Amino acid sequence: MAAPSLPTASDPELVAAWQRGDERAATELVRRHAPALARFLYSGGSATEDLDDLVQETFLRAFRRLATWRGETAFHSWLFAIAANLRKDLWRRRRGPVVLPLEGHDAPGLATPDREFEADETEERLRQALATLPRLQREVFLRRVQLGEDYAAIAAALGTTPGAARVHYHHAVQRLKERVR
Amino acid sequence: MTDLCGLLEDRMPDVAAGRAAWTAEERAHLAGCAECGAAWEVVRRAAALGRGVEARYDAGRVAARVGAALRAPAPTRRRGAWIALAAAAAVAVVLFRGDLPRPGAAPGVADVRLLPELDSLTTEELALLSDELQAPLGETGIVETPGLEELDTTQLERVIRSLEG
Repeated sequence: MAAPSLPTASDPELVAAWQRGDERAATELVRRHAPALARFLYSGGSATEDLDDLVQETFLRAFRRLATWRGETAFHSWLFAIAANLRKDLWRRRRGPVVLPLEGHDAPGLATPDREFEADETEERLRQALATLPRLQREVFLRRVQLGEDYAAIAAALGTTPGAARVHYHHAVQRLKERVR
Repeated sequence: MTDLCGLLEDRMPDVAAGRAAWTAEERAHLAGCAECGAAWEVVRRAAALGRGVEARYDAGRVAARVGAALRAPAPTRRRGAWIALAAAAAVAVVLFRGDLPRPGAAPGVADVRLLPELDSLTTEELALLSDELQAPLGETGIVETPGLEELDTTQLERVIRSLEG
């Protein structure tokens, strides 16, 4: 049976191709998931200056540890968990989140100047609020709201239970309501 | 908060993403419940947050960077670096343990100290560390190892953490 072409191949097929030595499979996986990964990081409060480095490091770490991905969670979900861990480490080194205002900063990895996607004040307040949530609340909320994952999938990705994930989501909503009002 | 409030809160992400729609009853509740209205506003905005970033993200550029990094030889963990780490760990043990008898400690009771920074090492690295610590310090070649300036950031941080306890 002929191998599927790269753009139509599933993530597990691309992973298998990469493990057989096909570099194009890695490129396709990056092209496929990097934009959503950047959005996830940005939404959770990462500075635009950090997006490129975090996205790149996420993929490098993933490709070097592919043997640890067992397929219990979707590949992209696994990537997001790696990205969240890298961000946690970065914030720990910096002693907290650093959400920079968009004005006056170029955004690496973005094809156009950030002025073209400048966020309104509410969006910035929401990013700031998300950045200061407890980690699990932030990850659960963003996975539920932006990735559309159900509680079972979130629980599998984050190593918790669906019930706990639901509680984290509820608390995140309550805190965000208070902080964004 | 009513049962309906909780139900709506759970459904908000699906409605915001267009995977579901409010029923007439739910819509009426949202219009009259300030808490649910505020929650819906947060979820609706969060669902749209960062779409511009995603749409304009230059994935090709990052793919090229990742590809280049993957083709580069994987960094090898030099033996000397781990020996330097072993030395730092040994120094930390000596500094914090000392050889003074501990008040109330029974004679002969082993004084076990755990170094949290060792948790991050792999089995192989721990084995190397153990081998080096079992040899007399003068025979380990620590003095001849490359200086700390040759350690990468992660290794340096581990050394610093071990010295800080």
